[in-house]
Amino acid sequence: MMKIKNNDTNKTYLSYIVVPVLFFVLYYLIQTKTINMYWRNIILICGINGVVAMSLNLINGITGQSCLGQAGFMSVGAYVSAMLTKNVFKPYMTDTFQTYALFVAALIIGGLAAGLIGFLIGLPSLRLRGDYLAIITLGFGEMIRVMWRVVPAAGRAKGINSIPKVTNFVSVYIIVFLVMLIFRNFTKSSYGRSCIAVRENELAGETMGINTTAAKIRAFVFAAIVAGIGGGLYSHLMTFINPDTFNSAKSTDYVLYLYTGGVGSFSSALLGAIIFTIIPEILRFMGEWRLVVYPLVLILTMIYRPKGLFGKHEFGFMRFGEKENEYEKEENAGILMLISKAVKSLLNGKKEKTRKEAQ
Amino acid sequence: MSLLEAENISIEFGGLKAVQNFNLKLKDHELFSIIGPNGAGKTTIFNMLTGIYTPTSGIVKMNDVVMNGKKIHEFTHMGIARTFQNIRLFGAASVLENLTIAMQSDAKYGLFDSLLRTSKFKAREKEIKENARELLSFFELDKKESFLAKNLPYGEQRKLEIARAMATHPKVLCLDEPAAGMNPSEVEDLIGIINKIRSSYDITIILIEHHMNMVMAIADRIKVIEFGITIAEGQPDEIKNDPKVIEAYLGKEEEQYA
Ligand SMILES: Nc1ncnc2c1ncn2[C@@H]1O[C@H](COP(=O)(O)OP(=O)(O)O)[C@@H](O)[C@H]1O
Ligand SMILES: [Mg+2]
Repeated sequence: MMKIKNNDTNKTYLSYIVVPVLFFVLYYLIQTKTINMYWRNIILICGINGVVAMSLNLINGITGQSCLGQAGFMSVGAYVSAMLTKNVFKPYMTDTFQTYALFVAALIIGGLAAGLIGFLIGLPSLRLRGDYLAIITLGFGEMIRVMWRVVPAAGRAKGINSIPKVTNFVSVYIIVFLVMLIFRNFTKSSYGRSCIAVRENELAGETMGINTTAAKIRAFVFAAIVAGIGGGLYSHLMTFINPDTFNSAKSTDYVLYLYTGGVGSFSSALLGAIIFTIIPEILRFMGEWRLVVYPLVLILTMIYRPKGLFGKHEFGFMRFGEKENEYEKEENAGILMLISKAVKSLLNGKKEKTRKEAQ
Repeated sequence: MSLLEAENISIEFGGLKAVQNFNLKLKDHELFSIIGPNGAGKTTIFNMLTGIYTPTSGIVKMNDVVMNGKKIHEFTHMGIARTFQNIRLFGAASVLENLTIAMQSDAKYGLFDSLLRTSKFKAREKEIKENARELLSFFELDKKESFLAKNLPYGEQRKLEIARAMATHPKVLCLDEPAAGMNPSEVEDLIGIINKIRSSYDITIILIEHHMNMVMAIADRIKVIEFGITIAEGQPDEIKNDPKVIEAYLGKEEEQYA
C-alpha cells in the first residue's frame, strides 16, 4: 500500500503568485501595444468564455446535470445590462469612477435577471435527467433567444447597438478571478458537497439528509447568475448584440470548452475555453479547412481521453494550495498528464513498474 | 414517546402487494432484525421507514410525528439513517468526503459565510473534518481517507456505508444486508463493529440480514417476513423453534446454503 501524505502540510502557493504576475505582464503588454487590439479582444473573449464555461461546470461538472442552455443565460445578462447602461445609466457615466460603478451595477442586475431564468430552467431538472434534461434546457435557451426577437425594448431582430464599450482587460481579469474564487469557496463548502452528492448518487445524498432539490436549483441559479455576468461583459465588449449572437451553436461552444478542457474542474473549464477560443484564430490561415480541423481535434480528444485535455485537476489556487492526493490525481488524469507521463518514462528509459507493484 | 413506529403499513406496486400490514414499535437501544427470503419485501419496508416510498396505507411515525409524505432528507433529520443493499457510495469522492458530505446538518453556516469564508465557516468546517476523521478511525478506515470510495475493497465499502450513515447522527440505524457478499472473517469483523456501535452510541438498530447465524447471535428481537406478510415475531430462540418459520424460511435456506 502507498503511504499517504498529509494533505495539510506541503502547501504550494505557486498559483497565488501566478495570478498577479500574469495580470501585470498582460496589462503591460496591452498598454504598450505589444499585444495589438485584435489579440487583446481575443484575450478578453477568452476570459469571458472562461467565465461562462466555469458556470457550466457548476451544473454539468459538479452537480452532474446536463445543461445545454448556457447561451440563454448569457443573453439575459447581456441584454438586461446593455439596456440598462445604454438607456438608463449612460447620462450618469461621466467620470471613470461612476462609469465603472454603474457598469458593475448593470452586470449584477443582468446577472440576477439571468439567475431568475436559471431558476425556471432548473425546475425541469427536478424531474428529468440526462438526455431529456439536455433537450429541455436546449429548448429553453432557444426560447429565450426567440423572446428577444419579439421584445421591442431589446431591438427585436436588429438587437441593440452602440452599447457603451466599457469592458476592458482589468474588468475581465478581475471578474475571472472573482468567479474562480467564489466557485472555489462554494465547492469547498457544504453547499458544494451537496452538489457533489447529487452528481455521485442522488438517492444516497437525499438519504444522508441533503435537500437535493435545493442543491440542484441552487446550482442552476448560481451558474446562471455567473453566465449572465459573462454575457454583460460580452455585450459591453462587442457594443452590439442581436438574438442570433446567442444561438444554440453558442451554447454548444461552452459545452465543448468544458468537455474538451475537462468536465468537473473549473480550472480545466477555464483553460479549455482559452485554448479553444484561440485555436480557431490560429487556424485562420487554413481558411475553411479550420472548420474541419477544429471538430477533429475535439473528436480525438473525446475518443482518447473522455476526461479532457487537462483532466479533472484544479489549479493549486482552487485547492487552497493543498497537494492533490495520489488517488485523485490518478483518477483525474487528462491527456496532458498522460503525455507528460509517457515522456517521463521515455526519458527514464524504463516502464513504470512501481505503480504495478503498488497495486 | 416512542422512537420509530410503523402502524399497519402496506404498499402496492401496480396490484402487487409487496408489503401488507407491517407493524413495528422499536424499543430504545434494541437490535431489531427483519429476516425473510429474497423478494419477501424487507428492502421495501426499509424504503417506507426511510421515506423513499410512502405507504399506500398505514402510518410511519418518528418521535410521535407522522412522517407519511415527508421528504427523504426530513426522515434523516429526524434521526433515521440507512445503508443500501446495493452499495450507494459517492464513488468518485474520497473516503473522507463521503463522511463530510453526510455531515450536512453540522454545517450550520449560510451561503455568504461559505463564499466569504468567515471565521464561523472555518470553525465549523474544521470541526466537521475532525469529526469525520474520528468516525473513520472508529471504523478503522482512517488509513484510507484519501482513497476514492469506489476503489475500496468490497468489505470496506460496506463499512464506509455504515460510517457514512453514522455521520448523520442517527437515533435509528437501518442496515440492509450489511453482510451480503462478505466472507466469514469479514462477517466476524462486521459483528464486532455493530457491537462497538451499540456500546459507544445512543442508538437503536434495525438489521435486515440473510446470514442466520449472525442474526441469531446479535438480534434482540426478530420479525420474519414472507411474501410481504409478517409470519412470526419474537426472540431468537422462539424464532429458531417456530415451525412456521422453519418451514417457510429456515428449512429452505439451510438446504440452499448447505
Ligand atoms: N419500485 C418497485 N416497483 C415494483 N415492484 C417493486 C418495487 N420495489 C420492490 N418491488 C417488489 O416488491 C417485492 C419485494 O422486494 P424487496 O423489498 O426488494 O425484497 P427483499 O428486500 O425482501 O429481497 C419484490 O417482488 C419486488 O419486485
Ligand atoms: Mg432486499
